[in-house]
Amino acid sequence: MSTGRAFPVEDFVQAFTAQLDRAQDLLALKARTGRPLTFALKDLSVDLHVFWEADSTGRMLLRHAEANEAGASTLHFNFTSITKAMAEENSVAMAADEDSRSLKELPAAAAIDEPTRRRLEWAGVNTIGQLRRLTSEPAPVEAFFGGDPVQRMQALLEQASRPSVRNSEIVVSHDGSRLLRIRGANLTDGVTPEVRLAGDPVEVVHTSPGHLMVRPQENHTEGQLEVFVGPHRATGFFRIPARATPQSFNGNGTTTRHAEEVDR
Amino acid sequence: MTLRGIEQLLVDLAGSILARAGSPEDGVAIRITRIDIDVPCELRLNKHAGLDASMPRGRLATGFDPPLGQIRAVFRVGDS
Repeated sequence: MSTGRAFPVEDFVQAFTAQLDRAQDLLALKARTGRPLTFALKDLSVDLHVFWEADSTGRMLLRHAEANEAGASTLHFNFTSITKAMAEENSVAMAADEDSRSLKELPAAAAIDEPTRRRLEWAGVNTIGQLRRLTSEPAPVEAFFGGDPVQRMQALLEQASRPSVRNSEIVVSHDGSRLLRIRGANLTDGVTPEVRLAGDPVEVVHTSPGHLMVRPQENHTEGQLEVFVGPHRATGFFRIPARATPQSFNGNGTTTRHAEEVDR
Repeated sequence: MTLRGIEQLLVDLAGSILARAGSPEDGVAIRITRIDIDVPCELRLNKHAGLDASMPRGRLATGFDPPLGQIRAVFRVGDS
């Protein structure tokens, strides 16, 4: 009697591909750690002795042959590496304003079960923006993950759609005035958000989901930073160095940058 | 032999081969540009549906070993 677990072929191929990606990463790591020459895996074929089984839905599963089991099939898989250009050609480019936060940053991500997490990894879904793009078309998601995980991911996305503040930095505009750039996610819902520095409302000069540009007042040196987007409030901490200090300031994620960056 | 992820086995196989030898001081230098590996291998599906692998047990083989699979890998020097 076999003790090996049976898997759908697509699960095997996806998991195996992820393993090959890790092999390439490990080989590349050797080059970066000083080895003058390193090898890259270009082609791989694997012969695997398996038995075919069918689950209750008729889906074909495979399990590896155990000792002394006669009649195993031999599966012959061929894998070849693809270039970066080929990979990009066959993938959707990430939009500039796509939410680049890792799924792991969200507390609700802990509620995603291990099989779903693994499938997300196989699907190359690592950021909230990628998950949002994937779940924008429910039909393929249900086919890939099943119904229950979809609901959990929608809950995850609901949490992900709330505003959050990552850090802030001072930028100097062309007219010499100083602006505070606030980085984060979902910082606008299409309407200019209300921003307060140390409790004072301030002028919002520029808005985008990924960053805001606000004009601090002279008396603002440090304190709590609040962004109100619809019914949600995101908070952070800002620190503005004294005007006489032109160098970069490293403290709690607040730095000084110069005029050319202001309009980005 | 211990079963481990096939990616680790592949990396160790590639790493076991000297990539180059000699130097200008020796008067000659060679480098390997391609490695073709064709090895029998014990392969098992792990709990994540990936593959665990180990080299054949050789003299330590018993009558309870699974049938050996085969790995053919081509490595080339260069970008990965």
